[in-house]
Amino acid sequence: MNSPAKTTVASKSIGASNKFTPRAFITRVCELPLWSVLVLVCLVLVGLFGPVISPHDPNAIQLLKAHASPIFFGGSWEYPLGTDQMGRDVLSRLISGARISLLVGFAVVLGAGSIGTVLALAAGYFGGAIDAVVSRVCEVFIAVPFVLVAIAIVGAVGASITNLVFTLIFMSWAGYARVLRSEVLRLRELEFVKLAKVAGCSDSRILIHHLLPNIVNPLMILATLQLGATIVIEASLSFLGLGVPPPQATWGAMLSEGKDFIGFHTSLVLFPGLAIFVVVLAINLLGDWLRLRLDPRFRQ
Amino acid sequence: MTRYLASRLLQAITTIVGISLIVFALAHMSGDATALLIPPEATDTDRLALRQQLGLDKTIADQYLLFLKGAFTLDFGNSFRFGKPALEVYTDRFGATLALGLVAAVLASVIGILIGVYGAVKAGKLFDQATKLIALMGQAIPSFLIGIVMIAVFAVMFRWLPTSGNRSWESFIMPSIALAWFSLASLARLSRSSMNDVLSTDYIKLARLKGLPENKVIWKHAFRNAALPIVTMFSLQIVYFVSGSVIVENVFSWPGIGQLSIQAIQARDYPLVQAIVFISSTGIVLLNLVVDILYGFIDPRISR
Amino acid sequence: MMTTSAESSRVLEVRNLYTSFRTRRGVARSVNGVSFVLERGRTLGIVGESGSGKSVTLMSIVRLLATPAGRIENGEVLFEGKNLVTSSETEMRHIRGSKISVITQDPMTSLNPVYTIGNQLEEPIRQHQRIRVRDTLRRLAVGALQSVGIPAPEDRVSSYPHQMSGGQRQRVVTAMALACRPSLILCDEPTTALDVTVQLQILKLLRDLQKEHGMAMIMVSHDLSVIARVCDDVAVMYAGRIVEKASVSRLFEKPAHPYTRALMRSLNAETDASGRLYAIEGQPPNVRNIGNGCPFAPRCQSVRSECREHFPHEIALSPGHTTSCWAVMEEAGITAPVRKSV
Repeated sequence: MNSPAKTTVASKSIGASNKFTPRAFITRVCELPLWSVLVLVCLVLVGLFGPVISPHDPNAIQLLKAHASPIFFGGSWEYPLGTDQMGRDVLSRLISGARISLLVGFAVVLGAGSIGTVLALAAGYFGGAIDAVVSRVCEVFIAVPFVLVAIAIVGAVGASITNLVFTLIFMSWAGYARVLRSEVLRLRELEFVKLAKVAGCSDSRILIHHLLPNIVNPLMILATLQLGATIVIEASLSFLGLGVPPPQATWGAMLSEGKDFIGFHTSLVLFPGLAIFVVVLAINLLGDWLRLRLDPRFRQ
Repeated sequence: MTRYLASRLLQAITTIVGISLIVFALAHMSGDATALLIPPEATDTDRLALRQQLGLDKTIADQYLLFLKGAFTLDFGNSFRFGKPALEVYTDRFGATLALGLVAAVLASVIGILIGVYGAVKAGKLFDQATKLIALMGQAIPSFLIGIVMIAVFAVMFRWLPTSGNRSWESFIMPSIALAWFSLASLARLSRSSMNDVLSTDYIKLARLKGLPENKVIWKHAFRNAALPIVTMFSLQIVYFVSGSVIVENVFSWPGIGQLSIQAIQARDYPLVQAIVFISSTGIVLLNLVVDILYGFIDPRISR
Repeated sequence: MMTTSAESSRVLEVRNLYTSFRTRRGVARSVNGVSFVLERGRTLGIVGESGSGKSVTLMSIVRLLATPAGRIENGEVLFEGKNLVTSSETEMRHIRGSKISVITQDPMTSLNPVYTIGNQLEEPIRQHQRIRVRDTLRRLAVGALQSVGIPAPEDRVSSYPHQMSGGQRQRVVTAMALACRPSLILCDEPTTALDVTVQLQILKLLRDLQKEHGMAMIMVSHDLSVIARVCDDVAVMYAGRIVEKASVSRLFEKPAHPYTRALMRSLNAETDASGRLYAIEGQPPNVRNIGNGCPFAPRCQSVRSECREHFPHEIALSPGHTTSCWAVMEEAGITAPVRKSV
């Protein structure tokens, strides 16, 4: 009989610990949602090397060259995706926007994820008063409509990237904490924790050495899905003018400005919209794939 | 069962108190409210008088207690901008948001759940693949984007639907779709996976072994069980609808609370901001409570 | 076609049944040419390890295989003369729950948690016997609970599954299966998930009810002692094939097939010369990789060269006792196959 202890502790690393053969490895790789990974790799590359590969300064206003068409509609290679109403190069702005989305997304997920994990471990493992307090606080944060609060905070302290990131971390840590707390509660009752206690392990050792590795899987799944959600929220806030402030180019801001030119110069809306769609879709696909691979319920 | 209800009620109350703290802190985070309400030439005495009048001269703790007391009686003071009680301003606009929210909720629930259930029933076939695709795409398009796209296509290009306002029933179509979009996709995915889980259980196998007709197996036996996690998910959807309406109302110039909130924040209208966030959050908590109670009734493992 | 008196007392006749499952890693031949006969009022046991195809055989009879992967490739299942393999789904639905009932393995998960057991008991009655009057249904449900030995049935009828123990739930499942007086009951390891004392109670209940109503029964189990308690005849299955058929007493007295004998040795906890318990060497075969030979060959002590090439045909060792084994054929000096008619 497989003891649950063996299967969970052994899976410290992501994925089932099957024997490694070249054939198994190739099969595993082929199951990856390839284009998802491709998109995300491109995104990361663009994010890292943005300023280098950007053909123009995203904020350079050149009114004389306003509303140039993209390359497929008779434009030139100088501005491959055309220019916006102020003559700024769309491609460069897209790249700049990508960097922002990436930066904000990762920062928020990292921050909120860390806080959420720590609190979930504390609340789930120690229970009692700590759990009561953390749970209540989580509930408060989850009940409050996050957009309203985000807007209110940004409205109060002013719009900037750091403010935005902190605000979003502030509003999203509770989601992680709640989900991971249930996981911790479930894991706490498994054999291997009791064994560790009987063996005299200290609380911190149990937390760090035994519980944390088993939390990594649901955390990864959650983080991936939240990354997409964060990018959407950032775009929404920027669209409302309450995210990253101008003149910084973000996809949301591009959409906000471009919406006045629908019909006349629709690609101003098309490109940033497509960018958001493609990136979030890729992230969600990856998240789904991760969930299929890592969720113990689905594992064969 | 009563223990379940009592504990939920207690949780709700503590949550509301917590909300009041946040709301209060929120409104007072920004700079001096009086700065926007008084001409720059005003003297310091004038400023002081205004502060006194607005109650801003008391200590933070006193201000909070005052606020709390007022909040529980729904008295948030007068809106700086409108001069009327903040509650009145809120209720004036509430109807529009509620109407939109309800239409969107019904849309998202009915279509989302039906799609999800049939996707699971026809697992693997074309309908299922299409469902999965729709759900995936739905969650990748932000509500403001779908709003813009719809406006572009239906209002600008074809001129079928109005771009803003809520004068006619046609004006409900686009905003409610934009608001329902994400929720529909989430509900479809959840319904599908929940239904899938249920369809592979032993008791469904036994229902088939008893020779029951397939639609009884699906609806009477399977869906009744699959609905449980879906009901739980409604709580999340409610929060999403409130947040989403802020954005959708902005895109479609819908005269509701969402639009109001942005204006209020930009104008540093404390009382109104507090009123909006507090009432909305409390509303969410109470709605969640209702959902929890409902769940307690439909799952016999809790009610007995 | 003329029916002989022997045929008319036959409730079930399975002829050459082949059922397979299409999986991503190949085709699994779970049932590989199974044939047996069941007379009215008799109990047939099917014994074998997990993966031997016993449960799939039952599900093939009622045509409830996991679609689209599961398929009956070949063969006939004659139930009271009618071939179930070619019947329509509507016809099957009329048969399931009313003429053929199934009792499944795990009572903790076979009942729908959100409906009362009274509600679930009334369902087959309402569906198949078209009785709609609430009072009648309720009365019948209470009666059904009583017949399976549940105390205070009038109260229990409005309880929910989670308020009952495993043994009680299995009684409820039994009551549901018997509600429409089927002529055939299929039991898929009904006692495996229960405590030993409860097991005995349920087995006794099944035996008593069967005697009372004169149904035919098939009892699938991996546990020979269960089979011994309840069955008249036994079929031993290995990797999708039946390797031996006999009456219970005969099988225990004179097991012929090497696999059966190995099972008997493990059951009796026999030890060999050095005092070690007998265990069957090796692993059950992967049903995706089955060839045409005898599937037990890799683990068989009496294996010959023919065993790996062809699956032996059935021979009769004595009336009612058949087996398929080259080694036995050689030793007994019988080579004539059993005639399929009669």
